[in-house]
Amino acid sequence: MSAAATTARLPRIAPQWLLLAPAGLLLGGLFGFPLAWLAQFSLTPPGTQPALLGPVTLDNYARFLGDAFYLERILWTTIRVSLLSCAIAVAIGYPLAFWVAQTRSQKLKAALIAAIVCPLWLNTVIRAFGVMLLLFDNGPVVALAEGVGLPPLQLLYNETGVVIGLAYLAIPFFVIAMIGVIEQIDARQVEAAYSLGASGPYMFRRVILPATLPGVLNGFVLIFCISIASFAIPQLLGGGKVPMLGMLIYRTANVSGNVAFASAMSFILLAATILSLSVVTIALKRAAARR
Amino acid sequence: MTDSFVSLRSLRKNYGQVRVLDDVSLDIARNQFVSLLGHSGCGKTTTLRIVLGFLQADCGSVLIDGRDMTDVSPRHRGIGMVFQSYALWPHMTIYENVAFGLRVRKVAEPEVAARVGDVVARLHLGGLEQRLPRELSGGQQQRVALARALVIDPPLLLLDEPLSNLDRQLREDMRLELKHLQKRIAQTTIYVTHDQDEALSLSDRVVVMNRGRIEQQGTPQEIYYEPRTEFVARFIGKATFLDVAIEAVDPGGRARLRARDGTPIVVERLRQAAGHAPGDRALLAVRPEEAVLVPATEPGALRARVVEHLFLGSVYRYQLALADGSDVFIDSRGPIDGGADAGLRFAGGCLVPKAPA
Amino acid sequence: MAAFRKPRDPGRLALSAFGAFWVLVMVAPILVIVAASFNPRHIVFPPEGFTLAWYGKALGSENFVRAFLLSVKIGVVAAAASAAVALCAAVAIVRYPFRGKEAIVQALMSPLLIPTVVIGLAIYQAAIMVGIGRSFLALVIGHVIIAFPFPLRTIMANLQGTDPSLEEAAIMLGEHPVRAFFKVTFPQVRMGVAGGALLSFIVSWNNYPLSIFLSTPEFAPLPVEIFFYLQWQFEPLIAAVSSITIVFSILLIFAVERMIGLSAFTR
Repeated sequence: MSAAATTARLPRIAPQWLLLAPAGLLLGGLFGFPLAWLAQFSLTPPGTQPALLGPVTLDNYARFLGDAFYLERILWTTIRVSLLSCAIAVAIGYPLAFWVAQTRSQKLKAALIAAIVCPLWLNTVIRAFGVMLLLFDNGPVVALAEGVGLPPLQLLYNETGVVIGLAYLAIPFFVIAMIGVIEQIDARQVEAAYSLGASGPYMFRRVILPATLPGVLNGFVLIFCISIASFAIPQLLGGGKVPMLGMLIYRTANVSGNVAFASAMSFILLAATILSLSVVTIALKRAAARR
Repeated sequence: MTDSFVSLRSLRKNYGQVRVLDDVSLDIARNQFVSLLGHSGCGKTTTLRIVLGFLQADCGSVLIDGRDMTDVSPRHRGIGMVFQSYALWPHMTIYENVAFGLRVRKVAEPEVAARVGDVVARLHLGGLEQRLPRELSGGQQQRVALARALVIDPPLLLLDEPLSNLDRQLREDMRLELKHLQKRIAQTTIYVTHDQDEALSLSDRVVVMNRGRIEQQGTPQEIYYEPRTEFVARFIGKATFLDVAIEAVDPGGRARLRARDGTPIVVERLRQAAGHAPGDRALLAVRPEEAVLVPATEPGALRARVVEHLFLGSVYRYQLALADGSDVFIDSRGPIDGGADAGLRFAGGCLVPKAPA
Repeated sequence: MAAFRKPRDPGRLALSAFGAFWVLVMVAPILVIVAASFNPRHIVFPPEGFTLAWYGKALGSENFVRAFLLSVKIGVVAAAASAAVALCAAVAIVRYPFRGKEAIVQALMSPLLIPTVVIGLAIYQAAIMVGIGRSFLALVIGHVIIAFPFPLRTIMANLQGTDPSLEEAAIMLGEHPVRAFFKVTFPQVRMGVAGGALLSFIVSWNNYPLSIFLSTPEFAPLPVEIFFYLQWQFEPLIAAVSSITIVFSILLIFAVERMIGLSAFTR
């Protein structure tokens, strides 16, 4: 009679660690390591070669964050342009999402969603090209404007073009996010308000807007994070003249060859992304807790 | 011990701080039908999974036909198992489901067809072989699960709460069918359930488990009429529990006892009185069918007041209160007429050691 | 949620007009690309004429054909690798109990949060450091990193709907655990795996911020090739190439929709 003390040897498909190994390898070795190496780069004194565990300096960051030129021209432009285009995207996307969510015909609804979302399935470069074709000097939009008596518009190779392009990029994302949120509004709340005599605008202000606000914020921060990192749109629609962070990282690394500085900017971009996400998440959690 | 076919020796299992199995030992003879009965969380499913091999005990061992199974993987133990959810493979036909185990063992197709056909016929699944599981009713799916397990001629059959997903009528029908089947296939079986009716009606032996330990094992009659612990007495069936002191017990079983408030209680046949001396305190457990209602004026009758009654269909179950407030449950064929006062006679009863405080 | 029972009012009509207008605006750039590809000489508005010559040129253009094939090759390899890695990880996450599961899933999904530009630069530098530089391997690795959260999500969703006791039943009957998994559970997650692989392909197919760091003029996936081209030229040729790409992408989307529905794309 043996009282064998056995280890918890579960007969499974394969050892657990083995199953997680590919993903772990991918994440750690092929993702984490390059990021760490990039971080090392960003901390490398300018002019020297980066080395693992070599000397570190914050010079590259200081160069960006301490210089009014960079801060104002690049960081602020990036943020300003993104905020503007995302605000436009929300202004257009919110009613649009509302309209689609309330479409009675399921078939029409599916078609509308497909139409709005189809740009998402194409790559950004092609979408930028499409917008360029609409906005260029001899293109349809300018022609239409002239037709109604406006002075000749310059919609391309400037900030306007970038804002329009980023907004175009952002709208489908936002609409898709909002349709889900709107569909989750409890219809009974709305019906209850109606039965108590609430009118359309009042209903919107007091019932629908508060219910969708968290979704709006989430959607907004999502498209904002995408916009600040964008670089094909500023490069193509801005003619390279509108300095945005994503574009600048590419140019600095590939064209100027200053990888250290580019990597510092990368982490600043990453920080901005994480910061925006965290701010919104925490704000929403607090608001939800307070209710 | 040596002729036991399946042996569980001192199984222990902890999950962190929680002791899930505490020194569980069990011997099952060949062709015996044994039920593991208990609440959820009592350790019966854990025991089952250890026997299966999907769980390793922290210590202790499992022997099947003399062989120590500790290092044997589940696929080599050859045990037939019917899962609670049936676990039929949805994309395979009934035939393919049942044939699976034979095909894994590389049995030749003609023999596969023969054995599957045989089992299918025995379980009244004829004609359904080409259907998919989702096209079958719950009862049929369950029989397929059983067929799948039986077709490989396993030395041991395990069933994990197989009837719990069925509605009441179906459950009772299946219970009867399982009983017929059990006689016919004469298989060593371990049956896990929380349903006492199933355990008592189907088993050769019942093992009552509580909090990782075996409270009592015995024949269904022993479990029902001679509960060894208060838990078993309370868990199985319904009973009246009275705090009593023992005065005297005849060799024939006739006993004189005293209730807490001194009221004399007479039990005509008292079980498990051995080992108790006059003056001891114990718990008296009386089954509703062992208590008899008599006119309050009958000599020697215990006076009681009718509190409430429930119509259970086959019997009326009455709740009466004794002078000291204790409840007595009694079953009666028809409604009791007469007023609130009644008399009780205990035709039988059982002494149960009180659980430690 | 069913539609609100709103009374018909001018506000509703205005909203419908607004909505219809903007839906058209969303589709317009794509339509305009296709329209521009038919211009005989240059891209002008209104169009000068109609010709399919540029499509012939596009299909004959060595650069674009090479880029197209490269994108397809990278996409297929990245899709297969992503799906395989995601399958293993999904099984580990869904079937095994362990602490910190939430954190691990978050970590595995993290490539979605990080700007692709940054990932591109990082992979490029790391590739140089280990010596593989701008290569097929580096591109595939980069694409797998950004793509594999998608099949991970779809496979995990599928897997959560499966019952592990089905595998146990097979094992009880003598089957080897790995074979049991593939015979029993895998058929149920096939759609998630295939759909996830397709999503990975699409992500890889459309990617440019990462690919551009790892490309050279002779070695560029299609989006990067188009991007380079667009910086200097504005010709119907590029419109034709883009149109072909658009058609290909839409076909891919239909395939995804067949397999797992469009909900796969929403976060």
